[in-house]
Amino acid sequence: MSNFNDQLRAYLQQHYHFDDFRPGQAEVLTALLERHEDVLAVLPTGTGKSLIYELAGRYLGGLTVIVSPLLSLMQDQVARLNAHGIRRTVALNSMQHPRTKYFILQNLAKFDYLFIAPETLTQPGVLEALAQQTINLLVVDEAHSIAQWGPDFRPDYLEIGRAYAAFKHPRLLLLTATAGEKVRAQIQSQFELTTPLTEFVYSVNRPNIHLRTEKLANEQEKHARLLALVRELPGPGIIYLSSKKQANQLRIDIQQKTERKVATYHGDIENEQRFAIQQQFMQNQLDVIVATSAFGMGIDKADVRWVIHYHMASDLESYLQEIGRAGRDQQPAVAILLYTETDDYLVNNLLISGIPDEVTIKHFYLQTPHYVFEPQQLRLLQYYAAQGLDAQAVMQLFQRRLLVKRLALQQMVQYIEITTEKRNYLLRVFGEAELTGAAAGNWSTQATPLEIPSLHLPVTESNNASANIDWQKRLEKLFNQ
Amino acid sequence: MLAGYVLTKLNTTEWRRAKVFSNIWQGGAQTVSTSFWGLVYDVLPETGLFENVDMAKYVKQLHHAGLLARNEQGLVQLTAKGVAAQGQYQVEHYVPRNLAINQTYDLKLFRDVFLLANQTISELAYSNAQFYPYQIDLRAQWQLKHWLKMHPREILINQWYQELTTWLKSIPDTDAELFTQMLFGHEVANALFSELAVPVTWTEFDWQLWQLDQLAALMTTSLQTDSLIKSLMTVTARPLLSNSAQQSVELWQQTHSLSQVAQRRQIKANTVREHILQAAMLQQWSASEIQELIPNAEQTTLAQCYEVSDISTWDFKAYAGGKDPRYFTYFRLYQLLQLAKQREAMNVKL
Repeated sequence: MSNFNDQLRAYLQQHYHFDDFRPGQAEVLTALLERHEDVLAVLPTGTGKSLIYELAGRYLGGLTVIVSPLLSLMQDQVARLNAHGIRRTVALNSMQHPRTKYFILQNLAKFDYLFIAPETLTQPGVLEALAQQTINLLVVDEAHSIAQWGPDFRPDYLEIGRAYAAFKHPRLLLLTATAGEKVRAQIQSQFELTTPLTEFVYSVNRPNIHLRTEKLANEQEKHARLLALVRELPGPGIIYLSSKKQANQLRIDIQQKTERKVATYHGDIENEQRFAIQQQFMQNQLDVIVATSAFGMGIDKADVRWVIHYHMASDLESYLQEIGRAGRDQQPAVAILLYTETDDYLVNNLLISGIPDEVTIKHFYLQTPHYVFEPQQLRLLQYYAAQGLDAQAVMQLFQRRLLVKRLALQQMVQYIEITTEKRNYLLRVFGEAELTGAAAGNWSTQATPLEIPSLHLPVTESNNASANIDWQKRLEKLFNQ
Repeated sequence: MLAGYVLTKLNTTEWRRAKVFSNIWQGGAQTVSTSFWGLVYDVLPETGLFENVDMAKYVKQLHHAGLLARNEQGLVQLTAKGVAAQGQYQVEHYVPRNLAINQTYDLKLFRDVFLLANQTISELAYSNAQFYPYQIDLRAQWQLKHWLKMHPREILINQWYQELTTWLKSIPDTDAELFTQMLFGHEVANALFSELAVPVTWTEFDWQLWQLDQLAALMTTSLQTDSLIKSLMTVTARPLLSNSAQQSVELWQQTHSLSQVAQRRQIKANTVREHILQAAMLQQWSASEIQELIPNAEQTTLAQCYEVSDISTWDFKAYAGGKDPRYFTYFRLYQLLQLAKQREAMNVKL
């Protein structure tokens, strides 16, 4: 083993108390740090992508800038680095008070890691302040968002290449869990590189997760089936929905009709309650989280045993990201998607609502006084207008994007419909070689009943140690008295 | 649930400015007018507590439900149905009592700082440095770090524990139980709202308000002793006046001349007047202090113009429409004088 590898392993043991790297981690680090290559790494969820930039940042020194898409996740990512003993870490995003943003920009030299939203990164004052620092590593987390969200949702994603140039081409690391060949090409095209990115593509396949889809006749049946599953499935689990209102209602139902302890997790939850949910879930005091898919979860809980989609995701990339929360400990887990015929209409409506329609585009270009634009749509139109596109070109662009999104949705629906080789279907979509024999198995549909015991899901005992103790005992416990 | 809470701020006799509530609840710089009406409506202690308030939506909802009436100027007051709903709200929900301290210490920031301090001290008691810290405003986090470094480990753990114990023993047991449910630290998570022993009619809004109110009570008590919590409060202290207003008031107190202050500070005389008005309102100057600011002749004229006790119905034009802006200052000061007299009479009574 080379000196470099010894050094890496020593870092791993010293800071993370692990003896071995997970697949992909050492390879990416070697390319980045020993061979000085810029890297695009497609690593399945649960492989410890954050460890790669944490460790690379420690090794390179200077400032590591991590572009991260989920604003709600950023503070959690900071907390996670803090928990790994990295204190000089900060997040910068639009949710912060201007006073806080100014304070951070004035003190950039005091940080080693900066998490930043793409919209904030490309702001003039911010980009200039950052460009004055010694940035040794630029990381784009969830890099598939460049292709997935850039053109029709968050155009600032298309500007990261400009930031990369302004930072004088630091080491570049693009991380994602899911990116097919086309998406990888789109990502590459955003950066002016003298040599192409070194690509590490690991399979999206998570063999320990049993994949299951169930088509149900109507909403009532789906609801009943969900309750039955929540009662029967052992261990901690997550239910994904697309609506906050329904998530709240579902929590009440589960609380009333099952023995499981449940909480909802979405953008409207107060900070202090969000912390309670995360901490309780981590400490096995909470069994089930009902979450909206738009809202990320910063916690990294290894023993989530099941993920149920009550509403399907809008594409397979998002779906794989979300089910990837299960079974990170490499033990058996299950991902179940419950579906009724009307569900794809719901997702389709969500797709359309994000993209400006022809009327909106016309009013934008005609500069109609007092016309009320959705802020997100206005930003998008302003971006393309600044790029010199006229109304006709913008309409065509959005029509193409809508088509792409509908195709992605069709692939998602196809995954539900398909009754043979479900796991191989996923691999085909992501351009991977198909599996054979037992490796292609571990999936099922409504055609066969779900035998939960046969999944061999490990049981995690609920921890009620802090429940029902009086205030004096709680204080004694808190302060080790 | 804030819509219901709005009802507790209204009555059937006065038309009130809904915008004043939202401006104050959202925090940020206040105009003299907002401060004045905030003082009249007794809502200044709630400065910055509900940043995301959408007052227009609540007013629309309440109006639609027939709980409040709107006049042509857009001012609102309760209807008879609104009075009943207000009474019901007060029975079913939590109404805070201790928020006055929020004017001099940022209560929401204190909650964040207090919770993180508590978590850090708890982890310290178990010598654990690797934990997920509660995320708060970065500047406050740095100040907290500095504060923690100022105290030896044993003092932090033991004194913090003692101070909390003493405080919790002084409040009803049910409140003490709830209070400790919001604390978290080493292998102890805070409670979910759904598992708290609170009235079934409470919403998460009540729980948030209850926490702030209890912390306000703890702060008020801690101020009277030389405590760790008192020293932690300094991180969240906030001036009542802006820097500029503070400078004007200090200069004015030295020279007692508006024009001199304006000249030295190179600002308009009217801005100096506004600074003094802000100070009189936010620092709650006494009746005699305010009286000194209004020339005797003007006091006599004002007394002749306005005899009714409800200052919110006074019309400035009855006194000095179209005159020099200084007369508006006298008018406001005279209103403030009535408020100060009412406050002092109430204090004597108490």
